[in-house]
Amino acid sequence: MEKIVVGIAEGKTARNGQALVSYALGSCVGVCLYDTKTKVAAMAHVILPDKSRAVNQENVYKFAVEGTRELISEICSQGASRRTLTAKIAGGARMFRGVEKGWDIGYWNIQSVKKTLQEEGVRIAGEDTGGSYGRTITFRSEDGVLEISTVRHEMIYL
Amino acid sequence: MENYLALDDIAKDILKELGNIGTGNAVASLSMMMEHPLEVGVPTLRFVKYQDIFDELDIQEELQAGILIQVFGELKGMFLFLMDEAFTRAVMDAMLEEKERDLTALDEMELSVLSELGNIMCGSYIRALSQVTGMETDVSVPDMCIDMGGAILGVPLARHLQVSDDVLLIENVFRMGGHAYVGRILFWPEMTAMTAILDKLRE
Repeated sequence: MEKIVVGIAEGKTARNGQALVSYALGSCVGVCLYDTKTKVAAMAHVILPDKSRAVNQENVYKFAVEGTRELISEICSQGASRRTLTAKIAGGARMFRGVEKGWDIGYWNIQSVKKTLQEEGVRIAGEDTGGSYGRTITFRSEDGVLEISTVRHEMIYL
Repeated sequence: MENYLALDDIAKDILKELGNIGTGNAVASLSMMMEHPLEVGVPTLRFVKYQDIFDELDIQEELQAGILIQVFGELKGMFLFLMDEAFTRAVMDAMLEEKERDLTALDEMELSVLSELGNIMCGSYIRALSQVTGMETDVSVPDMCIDMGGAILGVPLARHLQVSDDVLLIENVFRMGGHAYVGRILFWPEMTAMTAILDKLRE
């Protein structure tokens, strides 16, 4: 299985049995989109909730709201249809308890992704979000399955 | 000064020296606690775009113990003290009892020992900086996390990204007893704080 690495603040698409991988998501969120008909998969690795949070707003994939929107239009431009599009999301953990008090960026990242998916009419087919652990995620274009590995738990398949 | 890349050689030397002084102090505290000598390597200044930080440190999926402390006052920024698995075990064997431990399921006692260790190390690092620069500082309660290195690093990175895409890290690696135990102290100064430090020391 050919793996395409999606780095921090990147968004990529895959097809023909390729898989998309994002390593060690903490408070970041991995947004995954899949079109069952064309078997095109897409993944974005977002860090902050929305543009208003950062001075430098150049790269839309830094942000949950703008990045999710961009990913939807990217996968659609690759032949996916909005009607058959589904989403799976993972990440948004709260890695540190105290320091993040009043600043639970993981939580706000998840909320922003969910709100945007809802606005865009994309159904969430599965999620493994929140908690306090890091996740490495692999999204297979072959069948749209999302594999989630951690240092504490058994592998999760969504 | 617009960005970190505008730093001249003198500024870089000053920052490296600060890293040395801070780490020297921190490592002396650790060494005393563990009753074991530690070797400190030459500090590295890393100027990186946020996307490259994970490749630079190369600990994405490696299990690490991270202790994060925020610094307020004139010396604004964050400290992240990272220890690899072997180091974390060695520290606990030295300070508690020698035994097999599952680092992902530590008990309260073990967690508080690690957290206190981070507190003392960052405390002595910051005190040293404070003395050299004559700048007032205050620190947050330390917070700890044992998980994949990348997931730990993502937290201070997300904070930093709100103000800048360029990251300056003052990194010191130290080792214990010729073993390949690796610990890192990352000082993550805010741009404004750094300018202030440099202005002060150049006087």
